[in-house]
Amino acid sequence: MGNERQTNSEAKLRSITYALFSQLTASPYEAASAVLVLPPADMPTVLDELQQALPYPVDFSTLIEVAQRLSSTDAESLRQDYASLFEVGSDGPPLPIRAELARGRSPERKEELVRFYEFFGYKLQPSWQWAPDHLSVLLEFMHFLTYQESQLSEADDIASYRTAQRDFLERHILDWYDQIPRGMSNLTLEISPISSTYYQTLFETLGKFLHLDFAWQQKNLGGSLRSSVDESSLITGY
Amino acid sequence: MKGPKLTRRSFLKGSALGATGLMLKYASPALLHAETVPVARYRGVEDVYRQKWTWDKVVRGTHGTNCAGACAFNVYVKNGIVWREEQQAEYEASGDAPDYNPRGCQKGLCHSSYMYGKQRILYPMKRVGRRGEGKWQRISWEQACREIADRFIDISVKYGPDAIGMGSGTQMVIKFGTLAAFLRFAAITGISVPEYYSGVGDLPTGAYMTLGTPTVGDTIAAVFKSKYILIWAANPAVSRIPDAHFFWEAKYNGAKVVAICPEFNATAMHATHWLNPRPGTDLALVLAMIHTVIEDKSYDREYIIEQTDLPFLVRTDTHRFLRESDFLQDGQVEVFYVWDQRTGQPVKAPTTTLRLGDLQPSLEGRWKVQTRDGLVEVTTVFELVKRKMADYSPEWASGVTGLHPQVIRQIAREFAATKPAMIYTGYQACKWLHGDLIHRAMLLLLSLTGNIGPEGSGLQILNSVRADGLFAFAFAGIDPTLRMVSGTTWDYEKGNMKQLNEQVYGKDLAQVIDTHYQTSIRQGWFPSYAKQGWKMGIFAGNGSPGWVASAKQWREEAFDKLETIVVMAPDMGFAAHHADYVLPIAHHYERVDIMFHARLPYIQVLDAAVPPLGEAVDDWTAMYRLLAAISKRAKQRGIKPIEDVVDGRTVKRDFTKYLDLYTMNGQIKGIRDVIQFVLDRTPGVPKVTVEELAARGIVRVKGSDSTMWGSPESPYHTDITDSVVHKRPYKTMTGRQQFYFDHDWFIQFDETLPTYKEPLRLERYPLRFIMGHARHGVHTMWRDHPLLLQLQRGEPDVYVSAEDAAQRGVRDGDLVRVFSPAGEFIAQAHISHGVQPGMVFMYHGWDPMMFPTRHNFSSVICSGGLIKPTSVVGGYGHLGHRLLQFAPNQTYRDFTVDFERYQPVTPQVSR
Repeated sequence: MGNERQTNSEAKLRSITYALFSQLTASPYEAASAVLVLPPADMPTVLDELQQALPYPVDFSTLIEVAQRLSSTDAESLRQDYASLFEVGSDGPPLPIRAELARGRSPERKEELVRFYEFFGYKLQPSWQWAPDHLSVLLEFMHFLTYQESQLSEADDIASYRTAQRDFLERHILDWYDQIPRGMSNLTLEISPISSTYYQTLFETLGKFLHLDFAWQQKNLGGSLRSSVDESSLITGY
Repeated sequence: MKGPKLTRRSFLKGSALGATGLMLKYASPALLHAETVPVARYRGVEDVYRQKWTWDKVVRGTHGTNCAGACAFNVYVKNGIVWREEQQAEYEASGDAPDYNPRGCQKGLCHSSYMYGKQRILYPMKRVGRRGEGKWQRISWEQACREIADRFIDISVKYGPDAIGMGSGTQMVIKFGTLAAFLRFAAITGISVPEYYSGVGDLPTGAYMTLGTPTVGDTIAAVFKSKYILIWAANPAVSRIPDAHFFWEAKYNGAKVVAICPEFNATAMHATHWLNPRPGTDLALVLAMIHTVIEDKSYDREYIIEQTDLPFLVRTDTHRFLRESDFLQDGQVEVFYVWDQRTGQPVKAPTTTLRLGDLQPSLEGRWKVQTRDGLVEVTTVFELVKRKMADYSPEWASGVTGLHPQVIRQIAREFAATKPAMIYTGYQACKWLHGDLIHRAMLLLLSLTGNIGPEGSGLQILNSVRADGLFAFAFAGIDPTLRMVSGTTWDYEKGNMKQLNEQVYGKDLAQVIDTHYQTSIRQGWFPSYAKQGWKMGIFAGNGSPGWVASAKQWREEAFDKLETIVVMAPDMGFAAHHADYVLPIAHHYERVDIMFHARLPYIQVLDAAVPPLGEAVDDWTAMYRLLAAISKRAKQRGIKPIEDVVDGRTVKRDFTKYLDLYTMNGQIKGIRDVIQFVLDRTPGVPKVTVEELAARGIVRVKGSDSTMWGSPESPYHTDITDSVVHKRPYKTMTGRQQFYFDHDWFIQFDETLPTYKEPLRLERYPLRFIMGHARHGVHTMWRDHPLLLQLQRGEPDVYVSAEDAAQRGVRDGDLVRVFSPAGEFIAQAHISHGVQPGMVFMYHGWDPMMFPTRHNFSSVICSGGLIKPTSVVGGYGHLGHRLLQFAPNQTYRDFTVDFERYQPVTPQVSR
């Protein structure tokens, strides 16, 4: 019983972290994101609580510091620069916020992504269905899986969801995500200094979190679960 | 075990943190369905593949782009995503020709991936940096439309609505419902609409001059009915992929297929014969073939006497037709004479029918005729043709084209001896300065051999659908005025092309062109656009200044001077990159529309398989939002109606009423209503609803039993059958296929008959630049698709001969600078033995943004200002300002360039 309670708690913490990052990487222009007020005055508090409670040593302090420096006059810059980085651009957006637009990614991965969602009963609103590979949605799915895990008590069920988290993170986020913080570092597009600092820090912090979370999962799954799948055994649905 | 009910609230309640209240603000953006989700058992990623993949729906669709293929596709949708498409393949045949299946090519078959590509415009954008700098701000539709509306109103009031131009690319005009909406938008607002036929050098003016119609052509199945096919200035194996099988099936049906093109291409590869004249010398080849037919007397005497002006009499002293006005002071100038062998005197040619009755016109001879000017000698047009063609022997043509005279004679003789025979061509010839002469000569060859009219014969360019329904919608309840401007002459004026002509061709030629152009305007033959420049340019449907001939000049003189540039497009490109506002438009699978394509006897639907991506909307809705904003802002600002004069008609323009007019006071609620309105009023369309059409994908049009467009029941033009079968006069000045033009300017420039004019060659620029439609793109559409780029060189390339490359120290794959006096561009050298020395070949469609300096092939085109004097003739029968029929073509070809190895010093991006 004691272990289950601990597991649930860890899953809930991770779930909230994924939800938070899902929100922070969503477009500030989307109506559904209107609850996210820029600058996010209470975000530092939440981040601080999370970094203390997560089951692995994660450092959100730089992001907290940057977020604390945001003022109400920065909101418009953050919105505009998010769009300039990820949504609009003459040769497409400078940085990929959707996995499909990342370099070197196989088009077949999108089918697997949707299969993952279907398998676990995760559905998108019609207005979002065209972008199942948006980073915010991917993180929300991780939030969904971890939240589901937090509600479970059977060891096999928990292992099932943890395996899915590990596979999904590895195959659909980590396989391309680093292009964002790397692209931020090499950005030629001029954006406001505050946006540059904020988004650079956000995506570096998120990247560290994702890698830490993945490593933690690897460690905790141990040898009881199978490792990554043989690609050649997969067939597409059509 | 049942899982939790996943709502935001349940997630938050389940949180173990004390910060639950704060968490509320970080709820997820993509809403989870508020339903119970069963716990899934997952062991590995194979598990997600175990469930059979099923489609949520299969939607009928196609690609509303200007291959004009209108290929029927099934579009497969799951979870709101288009995953793939497949040819519908339910076409039936025309007559005993093979059926039209399957239609579709590799471009359409990968649209499901392209539509999600990075080039998509997803949100309204406003420029925040300098033009072309690439700095954008995402804005709302409301803000975009409000700001554009204010500019629209201000410019309309201050300068007149003609100071706003809306250039429509073919992505818009090829979709029939959207085209109707666009024309209505233009008619309501009075904006200038550049005509998109001659404006891109596609208008078959030679066909119009000869036949009275530029839209000549039958279904593609007519190819199968032919026994001798000259594929000339076209490359259907590449550019007409769904149609090409008819050519090869015609071979199995006993036809000979002769490809005539300077480069060895995919069509030549499959042809019975390949003739490779030197680039730009095709006219010499046609004339030599005519020479051979006349020399052999293998012409169809009966046919040409009835159908053509060849028996018409011409005065040898003035080189004018013998007219009624030569005999009577008040005689008509458009009544002509033939020499009647039976009565031995000149007799008026019938004007209401082509039937000759008792008349026995002579084809050959010279006679003396008493006129008001005294006794004059007359002869026939045919005699003049004979004399003219005598100069064009195969031996002479051999020197020009490089083809052996025996080959020319062989092809000419086979062509004359085999019926039915056809010339299949595209729009390439129209783009040459003397493209009209090429088509006039081709038609003369066809006519002499009796090959205009019978099934499987003719000059096969492209027919067009009758526009009754289109214009019924455009003008319903409003003044039937449309400010359509000739793109070529507008460009000449606003692009300061006279200056370019002087720079490239010298002051003498520039002066000749300008003098005749100005005379034409003074005479009222063609309108002038000198007074009003555009202040606002709206570029829709992927319309782009990246395509204008002599683009560098045009950009600097016209495009860059626009005060406001608005782009409505699904994909980024040069125009969008340089715009002030960019509005996102739905792509092919995200909208509803219909397409007509004269190559096949079906109407094709585009149905909306998925909602538009991001905040994109269809063009109808975009125009609706603009007009809504204009009407709203006009009311708020108290803007009074203005008076506008279009073609001499005064039109009152009340901005506050624009939206009501557009929707017919709310009757038209969306593009489906537009389409239904048009369908119901287009002749030849069976009674069908948009919904039925969407369910079926394709619907066969009436009057399509034959491979020809000859039935009055059909929705297509039947002028040729009307004349050849039903003996109705052609819509030409002479009422016949007209090969002789006795207008002063035709006499002055020795073009009364088809004649040889050399292609233009610039000193110090030895290589002729030839272009063609690409296999892996339709104009700019899909040209930047990564999948398709993998099948090519991955970047713009120019084909050069090994000899020319070696002379310049260029190796395959090197970057080269291609240059002319008009400009330059950088591309990869593609050394090919299929290309003759002395030419550079490039498949077109590459957007300027795909080049290192943002200049594409359009920049080296020197000929954008070459307005041929005979193309602005007016007051002469059927010749005069008739948009979409007779207007000066944009000269896109007919120039020479050179190239050299490109060695960039420092990376530079120029405007």
